[in-house]
Amino acid sequence: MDTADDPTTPVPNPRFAWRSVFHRTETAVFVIGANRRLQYANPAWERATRADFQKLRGMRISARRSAGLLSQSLAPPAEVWAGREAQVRRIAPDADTGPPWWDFSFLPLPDDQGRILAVLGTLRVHGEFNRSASAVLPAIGELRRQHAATFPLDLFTSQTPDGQRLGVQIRHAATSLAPVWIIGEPGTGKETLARVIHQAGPGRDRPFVALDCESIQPYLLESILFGKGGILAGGISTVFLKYPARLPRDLQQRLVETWTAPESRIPRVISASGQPAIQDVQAGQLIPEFHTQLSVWELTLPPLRDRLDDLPRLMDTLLRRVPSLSTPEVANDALLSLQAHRWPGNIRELDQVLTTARERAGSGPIRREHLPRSVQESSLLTSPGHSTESRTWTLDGVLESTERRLIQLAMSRANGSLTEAAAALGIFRTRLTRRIEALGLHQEPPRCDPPK
Amino acid sequence: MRSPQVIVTSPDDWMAHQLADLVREHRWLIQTVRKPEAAIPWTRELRPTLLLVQVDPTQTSSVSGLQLVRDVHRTNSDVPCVLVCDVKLPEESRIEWTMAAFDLGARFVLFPPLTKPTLEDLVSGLMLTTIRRTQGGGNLDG
Repeated sequence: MDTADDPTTPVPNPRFAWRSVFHRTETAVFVIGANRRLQYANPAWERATRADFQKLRGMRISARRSAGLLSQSLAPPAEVWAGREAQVRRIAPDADTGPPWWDFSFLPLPDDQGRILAVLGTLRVHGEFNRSASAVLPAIGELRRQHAATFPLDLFTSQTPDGQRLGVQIRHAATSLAPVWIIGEPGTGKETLARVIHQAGPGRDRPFVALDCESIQPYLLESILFGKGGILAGGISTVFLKYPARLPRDLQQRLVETWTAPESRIPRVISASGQPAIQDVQAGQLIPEFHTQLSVWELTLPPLRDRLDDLPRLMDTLLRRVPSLSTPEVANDALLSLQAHRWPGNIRELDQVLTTARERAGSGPIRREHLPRSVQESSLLTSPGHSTESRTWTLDGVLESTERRLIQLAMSRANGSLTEAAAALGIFRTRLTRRIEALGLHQEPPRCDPPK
Repeated sequence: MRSPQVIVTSPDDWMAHQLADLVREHRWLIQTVRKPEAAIPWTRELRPTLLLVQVDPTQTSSVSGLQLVRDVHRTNSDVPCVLVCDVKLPEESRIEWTMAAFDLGARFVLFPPLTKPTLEDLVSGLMLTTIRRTQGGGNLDG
């Protein structure tokens, strides 16, 4: 029996026939005694770690650097010695980064008094090279087909003349492989349009790759495009670049050269920005070749405020997007508020508003009171059933409406804090309080951030 | 605006530990879920959200990770999804997986070596644009 030679309080360490239980298992198993020394390891462990247990028997297991790499790898976390199980992943000792990874499970073995007699550990090596992933890909093909079906050509059907013209342009752009430049405010659906064009085109069976040049670091984009295993080595059909003016000029140049090369592997490039390519060139953010080579078709997505006639159809599409949820009805009072709103965030904002309203409405129809305050307030400035052109404006009425709106916006942004709202408006807090009372505005208590 | 969050679907806490410093510095929350389907409710919360999905492409269970990416892209495209593959693959398989993930709506795909600086670079860029788009600002150039 191994006697505890640890200078701390000695713990009885009864002999257990680990060998008879674990010696023939395929799972790599090892046991660390209460004295923090390696007590047992099975042949599967020796194969996984490429170590000889007979030479390592009694090795001290510690997380200290002086204990050695293998010892550090095998050391259980502190909570295990406190009696809790743990799973950890560590890099194998002979690697600087994973894979291979060593996935450990540690199980403390206490006695009747709760003192840890030993820790049973299992080890699984993860991330071995040359294991083919091809067997999984057929299942993914079905996922891709289902996903592609959510981007039909009629997604951009519109009642407005500009929208109908856009629909014709989309059809032409889809059948051609010429580069497309999509212009639109944030939230207008530029990526959605790019996917619709891709799905309607001849290359729909091959992948669509969207790269956000605004949020992904240039070196990461370069590696995903041109690096080892990069997508340009594969058979992609469409590359969609969001805000390509954000790319470094050398990467822009490289993209243009790749596209214009005779043996180019990119059948189509679709780009998107908030403004025409020529304006990005004039601002010095885009190289001229990008404009001349990669913006043959220019499609402009109108902001939502200019296509309010399409609002009911858009709402229906967005509400039906989650198949597990029922599609609620939108009541007339809610519809009037939605139509009166200016939608600075466009369809993205509409989606967020509908999500909030659906949650508040529960199983019932969406009504005006379920909408966010900012949308409800929009209808205060516009009488239902009357256009702004036919309304009679008085100076006092306009001033009061404007003041009311400004105070509500300031309070909303200040999360209900009078002090912050007053500072934002450039007035004293007492004056703000008086004006809130005079205008009959409801003052909500300040919202607090959740505890970190 | 509610606190932004990073959702990590992973069988262990390794990735969450790698991002802990970055997340703490930016005062984001980080949630780890073991099963991909358990992440769906988190992505529907009305707060800026970033999703990292860890998969082993050699296991059939990895399809559920890609299904999660597809479902999130379809129902809430404002939530950026990053696929993290912790297994080295032959180049051909790696290309196929990368393209499949992008086709289903992933914003990026990471393969080994998975280093802390690379994870932080990727996540920090996505965090910034996620906040901006949730607030409705989007691209400052319009």
